[in-house]
Amino acid sequence: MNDDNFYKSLVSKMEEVALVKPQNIGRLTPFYKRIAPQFKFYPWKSAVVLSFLGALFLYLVFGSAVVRLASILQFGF
Amino acid sequence: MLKAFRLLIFFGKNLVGCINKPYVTYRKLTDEKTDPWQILYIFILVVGYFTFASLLRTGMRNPFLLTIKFNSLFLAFIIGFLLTVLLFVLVGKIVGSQVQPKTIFVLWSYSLLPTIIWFFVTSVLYVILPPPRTLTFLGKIYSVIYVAFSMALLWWKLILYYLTLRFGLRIDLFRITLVSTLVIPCLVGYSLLMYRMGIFRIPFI
Repeated sequence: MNDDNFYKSLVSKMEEVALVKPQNIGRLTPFYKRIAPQFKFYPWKSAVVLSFLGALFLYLVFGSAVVRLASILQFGF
Repeated sequence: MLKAFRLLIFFGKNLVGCINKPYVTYRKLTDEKTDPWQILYIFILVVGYFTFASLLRTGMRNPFLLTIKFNSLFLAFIIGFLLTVLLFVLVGKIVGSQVQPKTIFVLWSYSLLPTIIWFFVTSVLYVILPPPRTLTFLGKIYSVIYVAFSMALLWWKLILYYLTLRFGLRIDLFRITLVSTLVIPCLVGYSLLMYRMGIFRIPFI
């Protein structure tokens, strides 16, 4: 039984549900269930892509203000 | 000595877990068997950073000013950290959650990892490539990469903040939003106060 992967994942899920109730946000629940795993496991895959796109978007919209923002942040330690 | 080594191993495993599988790691950290002493290593990193930052800001010439700088940074951090945990506990009770202060303490300590990494990297970059950045091509490229790096760590921090509330207070998204509307203004107020007092330009939360 202990070598059964399905059994192991079932036990893991049971432990999870015992700790916190499954998330329920009404009509948006299916959307939440699709998005949430992206951040639960290996969030860097999405974080790196999104942050680079975000920074690029900021540069395209605000131009040199991003350079000033980088300077302010670097002085901020 | 053996216990310290064992805790270091636990801390290392959880550190990697917070990077790769934050959800699973935070769920494991809520286990009652989790030894809270492992967060000592996080506080050692914090002390290490404040020593480094104090040396960068005031230099070695004046040991008195160096001590003052270090003490003010560390004291402000400890007060802010404890107040935040207290705030989570109080607000958690208001929204009717099963609050476990020890769990919140451990989870919120682990959420300091992105903060420590961001501040360390920023300080090192301050030495290697001192600001201000220029409007040259390389300056722009650097700025975009640095802002992207900051956004990625902010995103990681937000994930750990969410998981702290989710597992520490055991509440759903609606109540997490409710708690955040009460907690975030307090954190903004604390950050402004630290800025006015000249302790943190960017809040060490």
